[in-house]
Amino acid sequence: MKIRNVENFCAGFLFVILGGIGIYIGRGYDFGSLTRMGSGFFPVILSAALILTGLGIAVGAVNSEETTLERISIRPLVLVPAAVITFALMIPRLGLVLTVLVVAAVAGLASPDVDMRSNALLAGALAIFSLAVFRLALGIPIPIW
Amino acid sequence: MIMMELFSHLATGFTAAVSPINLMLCFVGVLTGTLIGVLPGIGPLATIAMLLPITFGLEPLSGLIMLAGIYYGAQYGGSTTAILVNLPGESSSIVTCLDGHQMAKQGRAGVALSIAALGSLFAGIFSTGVIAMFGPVLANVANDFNSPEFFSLMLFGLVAAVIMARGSASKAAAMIFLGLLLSLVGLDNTANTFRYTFNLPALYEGVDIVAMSMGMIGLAEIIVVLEKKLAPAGVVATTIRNLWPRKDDFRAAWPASLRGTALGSVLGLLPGGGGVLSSFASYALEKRISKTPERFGEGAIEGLAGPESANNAGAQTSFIPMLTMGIPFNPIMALMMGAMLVHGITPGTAVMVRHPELFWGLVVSMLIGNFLLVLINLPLVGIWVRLLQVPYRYLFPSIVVFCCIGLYTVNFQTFDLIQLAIFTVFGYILNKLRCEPAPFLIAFILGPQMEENLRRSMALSRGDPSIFVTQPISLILLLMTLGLLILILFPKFRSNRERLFD
Repeated sequence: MKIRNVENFCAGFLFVILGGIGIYIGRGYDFGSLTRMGSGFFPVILSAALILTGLGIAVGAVNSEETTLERISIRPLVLVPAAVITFALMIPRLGLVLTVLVVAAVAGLASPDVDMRSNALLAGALAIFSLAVFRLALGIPIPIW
Repeated sequence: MIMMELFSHLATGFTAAVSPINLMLCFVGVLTGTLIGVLPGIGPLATIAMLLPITFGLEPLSGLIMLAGIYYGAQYGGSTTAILVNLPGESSSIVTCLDGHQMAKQGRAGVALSIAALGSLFAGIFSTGVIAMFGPVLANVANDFNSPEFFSLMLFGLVAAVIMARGSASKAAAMIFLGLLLSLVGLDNTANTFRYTFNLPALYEGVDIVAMSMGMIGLAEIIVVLEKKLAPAGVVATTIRNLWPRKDDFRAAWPASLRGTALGSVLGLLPGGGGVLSSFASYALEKRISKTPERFGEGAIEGLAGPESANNAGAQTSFIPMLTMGIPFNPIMALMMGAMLVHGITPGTAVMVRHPELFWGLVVSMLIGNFLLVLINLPLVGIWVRLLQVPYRYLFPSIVVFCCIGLYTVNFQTFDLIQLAIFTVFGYILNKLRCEPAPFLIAFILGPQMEENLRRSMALSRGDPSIFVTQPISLILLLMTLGLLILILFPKFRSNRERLFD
């Protein structure tokens, strides 16, 4: 057996997994009855529907037009979320200016045509801009340092 | 009598909309919208997602005025770049490229810009009138709704979201279930239990809508654009002369503009409607009724005036179902509704009665915004075109930084940023698997109310599901839903639908 439509197969598989998690956790909630629906009623029904739809998509993908997965570029996929996480880690401890400097630089690396000098300049400009607009003009209570 | 009431409502709205802060935010909104419309790679949906935090610090009306301005402002900005450089700044101006850019190549860029702006202005004024006239009527209809009717109405909205999504209908359906499921995270008010919180106190109030939409739509889109390597825009050198159209231009344009406005106003009311659908439909209509269809694509002025009016009209009337009945028929309206919910306002009939200044203030601000747009767009065309040359590598790190700061200032919780990172990756994966975020977003917004209304209906009928078909309005809504389902399964319609999106 060969899976032709890889894209749809993966999508269906993902939905089945997520629905499975939904049911696995949701079975712990009170299901109730039709008259008095408990906390578990809607989640379990929805998870079941998600699993069934996912199965349908995955099975349908076996015999359909041939497609391949689009290429995934690791660089932006890692660096953009990494910039966000960096912000989360730095902002409570190191303040606005340093955080923005580092976050902008990390995010800038995600570009395929990154050039270190302009990246650094941009990070500096953004740090000054954020300080001026968010802290000084809008008065948002984030420590500067 | 009815007219008197309308005028008193409009007066209420006028008072609310012309306060200095609201006027300024209306201006900021349409300016931002124009900017977004001009810049390719950032759509109005992503922008609104990213700007949601700003509006939380504002009064509800001020926030809505600004968000609305971004939405219809983007319709204007998108057409400028479509005409001048053949780049649709966002998807509702794709058809504007066809004839608008041809006109620019023939040295009539100024005329094309004026026709687009005047057509949009006319459509904006007309559809604002439609909102003012029909909003209260629809709100009255919804006034008689109880839980079964609301549940059926939401079901209708969700099935419609499946139909209007691009690509596979089954994937859109799965996205609906997923969105509903995710909306249940947090405290279940009725049973007083926590669901899917993984013992994290930060999840007790549910998944953060700002982090979710910012990640899944905004930042995920950035990653997608980054891997495509944007080619720098080749600007057609245009010194724009002769803004004013000739008499025969007017004669050809105004009927098309009128038809586009009417078509857009109607399509905006329908599920999945809004700017994009309206502009495509209007182009198809103009081409079909034209005596010289071969001129289309060669700079036919009707092919520009019709869609440009239609997309603006559609963008504006799509507010009606959301504001009056609390049903967002497109993802942008879902985000607007999310913003209102954060403020503790549930859109629907109650808003019209309890906060008339909210509805009418928004209506009047749209009127003001449309005039501002013409003033911003025509004289400043040169600046907008130059903006196109800002490289994406400067743009996107700025967006990432502003998103982080914006999100952090909502709750000052770092966990929100962790959610943002997770949803960014999730959104990117779904994009790669060609699963549309639009149905997901609509379902996420409607989820809690849907469960609530289902629960109440079933309690009302003592567990008898037939309550949904014995109540006449609910039955009609369910029959309409059934009709939509048949359309999905009906192959001829499916192929038409695919053709529409190609």
